[in-house]
Amino acid sequence: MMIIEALATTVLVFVLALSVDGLMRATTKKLNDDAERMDAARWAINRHRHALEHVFASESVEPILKNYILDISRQVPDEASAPALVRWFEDGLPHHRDKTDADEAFSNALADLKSANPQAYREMIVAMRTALVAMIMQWPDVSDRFRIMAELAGEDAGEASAAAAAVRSAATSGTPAGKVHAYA
Amino acid sequence: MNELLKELAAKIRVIKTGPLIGRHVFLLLLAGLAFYALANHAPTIGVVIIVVLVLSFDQIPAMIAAYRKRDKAKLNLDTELENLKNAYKKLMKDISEPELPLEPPSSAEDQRRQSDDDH
Repeated sequence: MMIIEALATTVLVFVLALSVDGLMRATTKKLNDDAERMDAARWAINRHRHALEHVFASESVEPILKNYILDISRQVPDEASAPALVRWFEDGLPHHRDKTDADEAFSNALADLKSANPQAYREMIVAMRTALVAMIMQWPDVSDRFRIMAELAGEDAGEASAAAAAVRSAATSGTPAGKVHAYA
Repeated sequence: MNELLKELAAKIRVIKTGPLIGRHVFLLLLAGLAFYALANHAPTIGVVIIVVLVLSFDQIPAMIAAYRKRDKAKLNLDTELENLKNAYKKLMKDISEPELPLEPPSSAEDQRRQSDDDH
């Protein structure tokens, strides 16, 4: 009888020990994942800042583009920007619909910049892409993070600028981001 | 010398990976030890052996290192965000400042003097 009790206790302790061990392993993995995510966000913000400074140092970049990229840059630390971006992607990347005058002027200025100063154009696109990456990598609970990253990497520069415009419109419209965006 | 170093590195790798491979075996041994302690009217010792050894097995150092790594990454991210904020303020200031005209605007007194000269 006593041996049975001891055996049962041992099994219980063994299960408990395995549970604690599993919990500790899961915690360690989550901490490491968080650290890697924040490192990626830090890299993106750093690259965004350098691209921003390059764009502003270039004389051939029109003020409308500078204002536009500054608007997007302001949204980078904002937690509400990530849901806005996720919603935009969940809607199937709608773009070129219901374009505002500001979006149209931005697109035209961007096209002009491409031919006038390819280097500044490239930095402008880098600034937009890295802003979007920083938005989604800063927060732990952003759904579809890797799909969005894959879309941003795969699509052309127009998609990046459309995504940036969606975030900008959601943030500047005064409505909660994630509910309303430029192309909804 | 290189061969010696390679051999040493191989040995270190074996030592490092050894305990990870035998993790469950090690736990089973611990359970056996605890069973022995419990069967010999020493339940407390058995439980303590299991808890202490399991907790310190290989997870506590790894978890502490992970906490430190996460805190460092957060600090670096906050610093980078602060840098971006400062850069944003500077660029915003640059873009909102009107361009200085090449010649300073004439004051009212200058205009009056000019008018007197004309007359």
